[in-house]
Parts: sequence; C-alpha cells; structure tokens
Amino acid sequence: MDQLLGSLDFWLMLVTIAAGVYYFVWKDRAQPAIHWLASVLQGAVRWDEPEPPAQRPLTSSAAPAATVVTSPAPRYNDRYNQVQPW
Amino acid sequence: MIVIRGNKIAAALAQAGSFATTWLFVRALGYTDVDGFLIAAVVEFILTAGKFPLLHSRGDLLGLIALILDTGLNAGGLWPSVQKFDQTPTAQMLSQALHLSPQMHSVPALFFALLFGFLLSALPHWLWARK
Repeated sequence: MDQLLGSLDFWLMLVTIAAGVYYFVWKDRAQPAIHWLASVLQGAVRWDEPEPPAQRPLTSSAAPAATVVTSPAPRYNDRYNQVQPW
Repeated sequence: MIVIRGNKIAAALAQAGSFATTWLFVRALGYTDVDGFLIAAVVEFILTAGKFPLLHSRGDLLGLIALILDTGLNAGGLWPSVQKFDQTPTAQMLSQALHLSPQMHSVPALFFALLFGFLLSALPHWLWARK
C-alpha cells in the first residue's frame, strides 16, 4: 500500500479518474467553471475575436447625420459570459 | 481566398496518428511492405466510417464496436511509449518535487494507454466538427 501511495503513476491515474468523474457526473457545475476560465484567458489574450469593421466617413451630403450606436463585440460568445462582469 | 483552419489540420494529424498505430499493428502481423500499408489504410477507413455516427449523430452498436477496436489498436501502438513515461522530464519533475517514485507500473500504464488510445480515436472527429 505504501508503495502504491508513493508512486507518481498511481496519483496521476487517480487525478485523471477524479477529473473525469467530476466532469461527467457534475457536468452542470464543471461547464460554467471551464467557461469562466476561458473568459478570463480570452480577456487577457483575445486572439480569436474578429476586429469590428472600421466605419467609413459619409461622403454624400444628402446622407442623414444619424448617430450610429454600436455595442462592443462580446468577448466570449456563450451564455455563461452574460453573468461575468468583464 | 484560401482559409486554413487549425482544427481541420489538427484533426488530420490526429487521424494520421491513429493510422500510424493501426499500421504498427498490421506490421506486427508480418505485413511489412506496401501490402501492410494498404491493409492498414483499409482497416482505418472502415473503423473511421464505423465510428463516425457514434461520434457525430447517433449511437449504435457498430459505432461502439469500431470505437473499441480503434481504441485498442491505438493503445497497443502507444504502449511502448507510455511505459517510458518515467524517463520524461515531466515525470522527473513531478516525482522529484512531490517525493514520489517515477517508476511506471503496468496497470497505470494500461490505463493511460487506453485513455490516450481513446482520445486518438475520437479526437479527429471532435476536432473536425469543432467550430
């Protein structure tokens, strides 16, 4: 037993099984945690978010001077991001 | 415009890895020339077609059998490498830091070979379908 508890492969196997069981049994808890982590990471490195299209100046004099209100692009496109303050 | 999608490339590479383990299996049976390559390609194609519905749309017995067979082929191909895990820098780091023995025993090695074999079997489909 001491030999088992003192070996790295046993603990790696145990952690892997525990993570798998946690994910599949408590999936409703694990998913928001993973999405929260993804939100944090993408807040720091937003590598897959497309740039918003640049607004060209209006050239026609007949065009109305309407105020264009654009909302910022969501940082992470899923429902869990709705509750995150960032 | 040509769009290079990383997920598709990764899926193709994972499929190549899965094929390589199947080829190793066929070579071990004695088919070491081009015939072995062709047999492995046919087997891999049949297994991929068999497990496709299970991983994409519906679960059926044929898909489950194909997935188990492919997992076994992949695990067998990974087996020699998994047994050498204790020689890797990662295992050395963890074992020295946590005061654990780095030696890889047979049951954990089997567990990780089957786990990675399953991932190698399923990842091409998951990566290909990933947006």
